[in-house]
Amino acid sequence: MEIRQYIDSGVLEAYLLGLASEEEQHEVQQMKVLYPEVSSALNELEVVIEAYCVENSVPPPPGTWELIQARIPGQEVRKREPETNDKKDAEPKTAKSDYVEVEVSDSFIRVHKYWRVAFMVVFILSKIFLIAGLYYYFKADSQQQEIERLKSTIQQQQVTR
Amino acid sequence: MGYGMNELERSAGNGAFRQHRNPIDQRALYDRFGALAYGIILQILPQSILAQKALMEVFSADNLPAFANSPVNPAIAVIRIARAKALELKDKAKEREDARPEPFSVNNSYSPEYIFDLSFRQGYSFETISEQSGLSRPELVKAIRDFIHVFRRS
Repeated sequence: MEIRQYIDSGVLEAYLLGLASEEEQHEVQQMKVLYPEVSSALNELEVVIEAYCVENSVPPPPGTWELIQARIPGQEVRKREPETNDKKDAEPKTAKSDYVEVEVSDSFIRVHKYWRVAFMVVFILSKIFLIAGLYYYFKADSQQQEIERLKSTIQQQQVTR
Repeated sequence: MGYGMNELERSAGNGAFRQHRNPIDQRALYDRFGALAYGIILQILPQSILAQKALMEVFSADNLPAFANSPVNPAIAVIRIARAKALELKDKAKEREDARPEPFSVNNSYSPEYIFDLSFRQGYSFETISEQSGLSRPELVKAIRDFIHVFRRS
């Protein structure tokens, strides 16, 4: 296949946009190494495709970077490493805290996964106590009514004697 | 920041990220390509909450090796990853809604723009488009080229 024909086939555009098959990807990478025309065409197309995407770009919602940053390992609250004796001598003690303060401006909080179990236990217990409370309330109420009924029965019996 | 930005500048090396895998590069990458990636994601996934989630995944630390090891320049790597993430989340959302993938409807002729839309934005494979349109794979690939070159000329 002629190089010009290959370049004009559209496979380079498909490759750059991530639409090419694996076989085509390998082929393009090989052709890029073998033929400077292909490499040059790819460079030109990269600029065109980037320009197309830049033209359609949309500013991300505010605060997105902060949310991404919160996911970066080691960017959250880090436990202070134990100080060595040398370091203690070199630097005077300043903060006693075990944690380094890090500014977090997102609206989410992170809790330990064990809190999920704790919340579930509290929720289940609250339901049990609610049911038990209602049961004993109605039981006491019916007992009170029974007492009232017995009292009135006794009074009636005393009156008839 | 300036240091990070310089690392991103287009160069013959195309591998500016390979030796620097730290949060500074990640921030520089986001600053330069965040809007570009979000624009692509919104074309595929118009729901803003899902789109933001996809954007966060594109620039997450997990994807830094993908940017660094990409044989193409960072912008193209971002475009590919943004598209892939958006399509992935779109598929997951469809699964949750128990929606079956439906064959696309033809509302106009198979113009280069329509084929670009089907393959790049909607994620249909060339094989699927070929089956339904009757166009051969080379014709579809050529249509993608034509679409890009119409933009180039405009």
